[in-house]
Amino acid sequence: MRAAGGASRRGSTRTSVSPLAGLVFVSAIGSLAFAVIIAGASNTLLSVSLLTTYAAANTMMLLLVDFTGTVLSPDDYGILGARPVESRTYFAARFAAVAAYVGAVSVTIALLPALVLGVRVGALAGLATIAAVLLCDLCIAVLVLNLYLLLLRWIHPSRLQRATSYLQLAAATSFYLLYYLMTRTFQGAMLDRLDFESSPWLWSFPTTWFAAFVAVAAGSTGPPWFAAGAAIVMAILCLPLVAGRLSLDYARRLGELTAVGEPPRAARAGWLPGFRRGEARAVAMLVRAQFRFDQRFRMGVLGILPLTGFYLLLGLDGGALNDPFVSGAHASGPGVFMAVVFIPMTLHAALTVSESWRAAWVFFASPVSHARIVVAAKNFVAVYFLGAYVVVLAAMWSYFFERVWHAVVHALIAGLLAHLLLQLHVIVKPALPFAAEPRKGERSATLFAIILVGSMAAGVAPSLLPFVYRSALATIVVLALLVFATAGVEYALRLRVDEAIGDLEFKA
Amino acid sequence: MIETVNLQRAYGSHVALHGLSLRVDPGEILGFLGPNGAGKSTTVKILTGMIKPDAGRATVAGFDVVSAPLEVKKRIGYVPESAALYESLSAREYLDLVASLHHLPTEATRTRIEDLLTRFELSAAMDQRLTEFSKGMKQKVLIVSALLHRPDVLFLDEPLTGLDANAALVVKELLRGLAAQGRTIFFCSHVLEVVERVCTRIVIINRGKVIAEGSAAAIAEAAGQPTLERAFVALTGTRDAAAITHDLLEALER
Repeated sequence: MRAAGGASRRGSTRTSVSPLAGLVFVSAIGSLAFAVIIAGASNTLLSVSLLTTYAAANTMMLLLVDFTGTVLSPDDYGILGARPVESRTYFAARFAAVAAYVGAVSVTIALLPALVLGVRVGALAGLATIAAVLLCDLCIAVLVLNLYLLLLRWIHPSRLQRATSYLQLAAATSFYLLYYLMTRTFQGAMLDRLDFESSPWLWSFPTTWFAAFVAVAAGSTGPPWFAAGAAIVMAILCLPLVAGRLSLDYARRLGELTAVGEPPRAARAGWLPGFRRGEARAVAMLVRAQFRFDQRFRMGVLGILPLTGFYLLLGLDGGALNDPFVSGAHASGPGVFMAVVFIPMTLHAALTVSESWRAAWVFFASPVSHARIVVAAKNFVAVYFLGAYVVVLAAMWSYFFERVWHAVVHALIAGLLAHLLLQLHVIVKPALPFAAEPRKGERSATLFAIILVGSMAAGVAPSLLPFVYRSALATIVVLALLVFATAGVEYALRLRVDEAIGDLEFKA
Repeated sequence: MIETVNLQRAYGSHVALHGLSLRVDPGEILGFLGPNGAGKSTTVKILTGMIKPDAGRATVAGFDVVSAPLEVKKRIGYVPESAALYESLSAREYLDLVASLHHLPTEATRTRIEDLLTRFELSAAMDQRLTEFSKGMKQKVLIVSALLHRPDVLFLDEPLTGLDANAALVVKELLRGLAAQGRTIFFCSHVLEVVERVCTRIVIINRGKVIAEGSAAAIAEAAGQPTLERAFVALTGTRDAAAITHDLLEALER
């Protein structure tokens, strides 16, 4: 562990676990989920093929999104180019690093399902599960590596990195959609009731070929043997593919491409209304530029979209599109409130870290109140992200609700509630924008706090709706209460933030 | 004007400043020297209000850095050694951001930004993102950002890094001009020749304390050395440079 840089309180240290430990932790959660699925499913081949597919997708995304950090760095050639390092040595070192990285994640994902299968089917099946996931992931790693390096011939690394981030976004959206569809499908039918094993299409997925290791270990005959054989042939064929690619020559090429720089994109003119002077103007300018050019921040913002879609889909079952003024207690389940509540808080959290955190010295050497900067950042999120989101919600609801004003009032209440929680989040953890060093796998008690508070608020809000919409007077009273609460919390926020971050120091 | 009295600061068990006292008058260019880890950056960070001292007192432009940090920051310009900028912004936008943080009027500042960037030969690149800039170009943007609000006191930490000879010459002349206008300049550098040529007075610190003060010639004379460089080594080096070089060459032969 080491202390992270950026804005921090005197004597305090932000510590974080290593990136790999963070990944292993997340993988362990996936492992637990799949152990539960496998324990409950009698169709072993199907459940293990789901596991290998998940592990392969996970590995693919990890490598694509952090390719230059994990697989091949443009800095490598600058460091090693002038030294007598053979391409073969470089390949061995890099491949060992990738294999260790993929191996650690794969084994963690496979571990608990392997234990379950080891107990249920036999020790050999348990070992076969680990082998299946590991080999499948290594093959995927090799294929991803080849694909990426092939694309580098035509696409600048920065653009490719951006494209892979969008790919990750699309994958996340698909994942949430798939999860939603699966949960709906399995509401009436358990996994083991589905007769996929007898369907020939299952064998068309290469990840099933690896899953066939477990079927073979369990004593199956026939197709699983052929599939397992195909998986081994695939793994053998993958090795020569990587040998020619993971070379120092490619590192040189990557370094040259990165050094040339991406063709410049013009700066955007015009100012954002409401943020024309002082700290507000500075924050608005910075947030807008970071959103355009800082991939991490942009993905932090856009990453909310699939999650929002997911919550909205979940909300559909709870009546997210029913008019609450009409249908009372049966309207608007927690799903949509989850979305409204989480968005501003998650955005604000994304706003505080940046790869450019060292540049935050400018906030410390300028005659500005840090509290004003923090409040300006909160306001920007509230107006341009939460505000836009509430408008979209209102537009959507106005189509489904009986009256447009029902939609407007409902969206306004949701928006005010979300803003209130955003204010509370800023009170609990005030932070300057883009002033903290991002650390992978950082311990985030705050995130858990956000989830806890958000879930509670989202869970409680729908049950209160019947009282809110019972009469015009009740609605007006609630709106007024929310406005007063917002004003009161805003006052408290300014006092508290001033006190909390008045003694911030800058560590570089 | 800058004044520190018995300034102290520690990072955990490491004491960075050990009762530092110094004074810089208006119109002076003070060369602030010291070996790595001597406490130069800590001193500058305290004087610019980025960190607070544990004990002692520091005033800049007549204001206490602890009790009136915003008043201090209104009157100072700072060029940090790290040259870190938000590179998603263009040069013009970055300077606009700095101007906004100093609450400068928008229209007048816009003209000043264009004027200063043009004089630093950055007019063609002012709308390019800073990520496209070379190290020297970024350094020019930092220098402009430090001057934008016409500060009374300038803190410059290795301000000539990355600048070509022409730009470096311009900056050196600019500093003399600013000092002649009565501004106070606090100049940190490891390049002794530059310090000797630019600064009107020099302070050398080591282990958080002032160990020498005066003109280059006076420091050399007091240390019994022919040059400032020799005096610096004699005052701060643990061993003679010739002896270290000899040992290094010998180690390479082993």
